[in-house]
Amino acid sequence: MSGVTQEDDKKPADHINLKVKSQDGNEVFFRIKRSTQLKKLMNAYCDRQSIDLNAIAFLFDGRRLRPDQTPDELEMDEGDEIDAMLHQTGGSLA
Amino acid sequence: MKSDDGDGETEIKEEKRGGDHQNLPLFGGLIDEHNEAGCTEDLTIHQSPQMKHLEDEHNDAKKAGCTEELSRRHNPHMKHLEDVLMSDKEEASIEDLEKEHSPVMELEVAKSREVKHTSPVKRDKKKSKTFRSPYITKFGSSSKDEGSSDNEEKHRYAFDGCTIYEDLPNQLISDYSQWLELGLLKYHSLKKQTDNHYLKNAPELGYPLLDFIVAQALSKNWLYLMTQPKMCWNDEHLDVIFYHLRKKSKLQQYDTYRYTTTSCFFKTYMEKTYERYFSAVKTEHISMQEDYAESVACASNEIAITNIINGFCISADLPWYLVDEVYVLVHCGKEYHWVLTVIVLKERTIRIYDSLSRKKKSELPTEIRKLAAMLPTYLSDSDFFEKTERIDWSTLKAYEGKLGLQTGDISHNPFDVK
Repeated sequence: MSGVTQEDDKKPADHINLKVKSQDGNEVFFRIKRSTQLKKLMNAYCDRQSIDLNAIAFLFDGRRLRPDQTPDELEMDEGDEIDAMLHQTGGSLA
Repeated sequence: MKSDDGDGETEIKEEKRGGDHQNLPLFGGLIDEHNEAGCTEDLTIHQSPQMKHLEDEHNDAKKAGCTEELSRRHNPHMKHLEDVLMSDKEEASIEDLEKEHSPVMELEVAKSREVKHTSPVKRDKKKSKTFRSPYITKFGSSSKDEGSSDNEEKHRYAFDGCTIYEDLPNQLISDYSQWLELGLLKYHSLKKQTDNHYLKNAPELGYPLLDFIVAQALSKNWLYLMTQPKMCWNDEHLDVIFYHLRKKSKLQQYDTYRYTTTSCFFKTYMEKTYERYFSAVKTEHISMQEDYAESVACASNEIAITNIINGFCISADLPWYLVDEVYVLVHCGKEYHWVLTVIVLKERTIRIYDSLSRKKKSELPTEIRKLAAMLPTYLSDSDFFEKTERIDWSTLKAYEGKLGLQTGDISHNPFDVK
């Protein structure tokens, strides 16, 4: 996790602060390189919250994020918010 | 066709639908093209100048969409309604996929719909979206032909160039089934919903991923879950379907009946705010800090809700003041069950379509009660009633005496629920 949160501040333009917000409104802040895959952030978040990565959907602007995407790719801005929502399943009658 | 909903009309609607379906071949889902195209949204933008040409077609499609919805509405006790419903949606979305990705739309509109599939873009039939509902048997209403036997589980897929109602070439179906089965674990049906059902070294999709804009299918597992009767559909499947429904509505600008949908998480936001305002634990019993933290969390959920109502948040969303009805998926967590609710804005009511309604006729899912309670507040919070470009809400009978609450207050006039 330290790799995500404690990146050096020498080149601020390369880095971006992102906020991950859970359903309960808990907010966790991450500082991540713009070119780093979000996988790193997701893993760090799930580790910290002790939840299974597969149980969570990360949403940005109403879209699900893929682990292999990067902030650059998604044109994220400083301070953008990512929603972490629990997956919901249903519909089975069997 | 839009607002009449007498129960007696069920049969008529059914018939109408049948008719429409025949005029409306539904084409297969060319999922593979998502990758080629990169992004559906981009495509739509490119296409927008051509919209006028598409108009007729959209209207037709729209008709079918409406009738599908209506028929759902008229069968509130349909035992497996939800499956039907999903199927309907699926069709719609599949069709949309086709539309959005057909770069030669303009030319094709001139031709009859039947030849639409001659689109020069080569498509791999295997990548079609799966589509089947083994449950729909009684009403023959959506995906199944009336002729299909009740017990026989017949696989039905919508393929490119074929409609879901047509009898597909068996070769196509078996090809697809085979492709889907390739690499399946031996005991795949015993695996849990969240597990992977394929061997580790099983052939993948053949593409890095299928991008459905609001969600992505990373492996065949995603499609597998849709086809299996014992497996559940999760929020990703439904969001994809609802996204395409939404998109369809958005493109059909000239229809009199307009609707939009929300993502699965709209209800989650609603629920959270409900807990804050109608919480069992009185706010006096919690500390200042807790109260403050709660209010901050609540505020962020409220922002999410008003953004959705204003059409800012979800892809292809329409602001609610421009629509007649909003389709909201409600996830009943305890029952692992999806229920469709339709917010009929003009009538200030919420209609519920629950495929399990027979089992528990009497009581309303708590999730829906929460929705009904919170909705008026957020409609007024998002200045919904002040936007009268399409409909002057405040003059409607349904809203008489129920408006005019002060900002910051919680409305105690919940929506009626049917």
